[in-house]
Amino acid sequence: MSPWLVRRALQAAATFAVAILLLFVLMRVAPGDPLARLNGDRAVSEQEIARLRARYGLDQPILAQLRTFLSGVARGDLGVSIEHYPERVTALLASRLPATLLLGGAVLLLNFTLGVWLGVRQAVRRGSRFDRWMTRLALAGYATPSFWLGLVLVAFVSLRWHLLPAAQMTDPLLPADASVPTRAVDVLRHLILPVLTLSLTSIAITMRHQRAALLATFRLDYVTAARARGLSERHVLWGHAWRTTLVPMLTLLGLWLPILVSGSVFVESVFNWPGLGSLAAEAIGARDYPLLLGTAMLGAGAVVVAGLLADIGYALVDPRVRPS
Amino acid sequence: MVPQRLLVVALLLLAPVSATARQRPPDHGSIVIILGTEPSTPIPTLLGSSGNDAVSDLLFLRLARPGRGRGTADEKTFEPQLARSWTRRDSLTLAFDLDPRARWHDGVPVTARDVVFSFQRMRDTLVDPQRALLLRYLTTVTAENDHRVVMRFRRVYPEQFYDATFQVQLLPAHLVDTIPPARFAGSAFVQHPVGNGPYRWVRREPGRQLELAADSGFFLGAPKLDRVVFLLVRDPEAALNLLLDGTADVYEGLAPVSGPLRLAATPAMRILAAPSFGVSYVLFNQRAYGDRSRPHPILADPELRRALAMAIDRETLLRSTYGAFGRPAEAPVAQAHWTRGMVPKGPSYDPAGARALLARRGWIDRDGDGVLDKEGVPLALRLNVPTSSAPRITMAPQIQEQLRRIGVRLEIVRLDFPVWRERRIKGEFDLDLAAATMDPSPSGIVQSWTCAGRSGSNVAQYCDPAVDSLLDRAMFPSRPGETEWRAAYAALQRDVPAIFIASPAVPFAIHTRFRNVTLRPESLYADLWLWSVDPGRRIARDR
Repeated sequence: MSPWLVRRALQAAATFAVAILLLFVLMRVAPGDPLARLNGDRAVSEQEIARLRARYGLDQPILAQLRTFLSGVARGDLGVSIEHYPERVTALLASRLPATLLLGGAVLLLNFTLGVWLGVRQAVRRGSRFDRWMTRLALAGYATPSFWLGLVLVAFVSLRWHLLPAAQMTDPLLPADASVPTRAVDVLRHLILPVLTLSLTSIAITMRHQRAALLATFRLDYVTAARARGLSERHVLWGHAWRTTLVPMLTLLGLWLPILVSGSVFVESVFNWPGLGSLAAEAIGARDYPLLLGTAMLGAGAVVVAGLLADIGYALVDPRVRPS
Repeated sequence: MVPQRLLVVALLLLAPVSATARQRPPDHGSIVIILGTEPSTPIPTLLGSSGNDAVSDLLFLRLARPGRGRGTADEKTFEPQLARSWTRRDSLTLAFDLDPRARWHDGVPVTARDVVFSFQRMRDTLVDPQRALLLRYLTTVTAENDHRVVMRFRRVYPEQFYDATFQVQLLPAHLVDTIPPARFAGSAFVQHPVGNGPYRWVRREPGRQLELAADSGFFLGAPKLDRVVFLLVRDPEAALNLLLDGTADVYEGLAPVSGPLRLAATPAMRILAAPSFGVSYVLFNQRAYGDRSRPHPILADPELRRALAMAIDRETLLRSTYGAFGRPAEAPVAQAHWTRGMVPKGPSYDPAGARALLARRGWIDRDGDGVLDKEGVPLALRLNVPTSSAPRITMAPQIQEQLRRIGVRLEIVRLDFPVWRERRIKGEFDLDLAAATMDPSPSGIVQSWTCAGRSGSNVAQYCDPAVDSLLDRAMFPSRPGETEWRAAYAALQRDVPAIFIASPAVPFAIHTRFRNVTLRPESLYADLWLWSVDPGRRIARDR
């Protein structure tokens, strides 16, 4: 492993540690007692509240709480959720992660296949009617709030035309012993609308970046030289010009990658998608410190890892930024 | 070729997935119920949320339950459940004979040992202090034989039978008695509970859904809805969409005003008004903001509180917030309480009278800024409101405006639920826009509206020994009668500890194919096992 990579990995780890530290402190100083909900709504005695406070370490000074938290993290134990007691935070995260990965992965895939392809087509056919219409559509999509688009899609596709389910990840009455293909089709049917909602509002960014990057590349001398050598337009485009646009597209991918694990609170709410976004929102609402830190760690980790991967990607595709 | 394949895939995706192929009798079927809170521990002693209660009432029965009139003071009106019959041996002793047909879902008979164990667990102040308080007059629970239990009380009062039956859902002693209470929540039993009710546990997918199946051997009769799925849907809009697209059949969290409008164009759904034990009110803090050692500098005066109550147009509040589902409340008594007819009328809407009353108390707008003042102190108050409650968020600005008209400056403090809750407990509020689901017994009033409740739910520290005394006489009358309750409510109203606004009904949306739908306020789904499907209106998932 090169020293550059080691240095970059250490920087990423430090960024992650600082982010978690900040989150930990901010959470503790924010108003709202996580156990206040129990006192009154549920029949929990003062002794029980005190016992719970001790169990979660909430009766300790903040430094002691931090020490306990860090030692737990070192053991791979993020503690027990307050809201979902007695479930462990790691188990809760693990139960929600597949849904988030599925949704985020599908959105990313659509963004970076269709988005790149449309951006390239726009650049190649710059000034055409197709280019103008795609630009308008892209701007409209970019300006549309995802939760609103989600509601509109549900109103028409599900409630008016009855083509796809309005919400959920699976049919609630799907038998437990349903075959894998039946399950897969069921999940796919439920996946389409949330993916469209997130993609239609974000694909515009990929398209516009790809279009702009490619247009800038088309003006470079080596592209002109490639054309002068008699290479086919397809070869010039994909073999020469497009490769250069990979660096800005990798930057964009690095920014989008965290969506894989962070989820989308609004879209998960509209579609009742059982992902990490809604879990994080729930944890915030309940001041469930252990769960909130767990979801925040995943999110922060994804951002840091995505940045690291983007840097490695630059080095791979562009020799100019490759460290000696 | 490729377009044809794409067409096949598209058709496959658009075709609903077949749920089941099993044939059922014509009035049987499945039901999908939307819950807004997760039923993560639907087990007696671990309840405390509406989601848990809904599931628990289908899994675990009580000895008996209040009858249709919802009276809690007359044992003759109760309906048998696990107890087939009962006899009163004397004014302090009740004997219950268990139904010998009753079985736990693992096939073991329900016995007197289960009753003794369950009461012992529930009366443990470390397990369920609130329940232990309610059962404080119960001295012993003993098993005379396998199917007879004798309960002895230390005091004569009309609700002995109610306490002996309704407060405790039975747990299976043969499965639970070896689990210490402190480890119960994390036990395997909680992950896969074994009950004695009309439905047995099938599975729970955390954060998503919970499934129950009919117990065909249920001793009171086999349920007709074979499969019950509870869906967790926190977002009201998503819940409504699931109703409209036919995924779900039942939703009890419908917005009272906009919900019926959204469902009006859907003939497959109907809306029922389920009576409830809920009451919403503006609570006056009797003590200073955040300092319980001093009386509140403004709100300690009952005449001022009365003036504020007179300034509130509750009819308008009810209409705008609860639509057709609102019923005015005059005291901490809900529309489902059997004492609801004994509550005298509270202060009427009279802003001019309110202003005159305030003037008599020395509150006059001396500096012409529109806000009344007295000895240099403006009549300015803060109203805490939890952002999690849509009805209360709707009401708060209207209350603010109505009080502004009589010269009161009200600052609305919108708070996240945990922060609102924390401030409520610490007494950090002037006015608190609250809502409570009360006990089916009117005696539940003692928790929040008596001197004894000050160490618990009585966060406003309201205390009037005269009211306590009248309530005591109502709960423990020398002879049964309504006079004591009327007197107690009237005394409470004289103190104006709160502005009681509404006792709303629950807007309950349900698919029209279900028949025999009855909703009980203490437990909406307790009679679910009696519901059936109209044979002519079955849908795919019923077959």
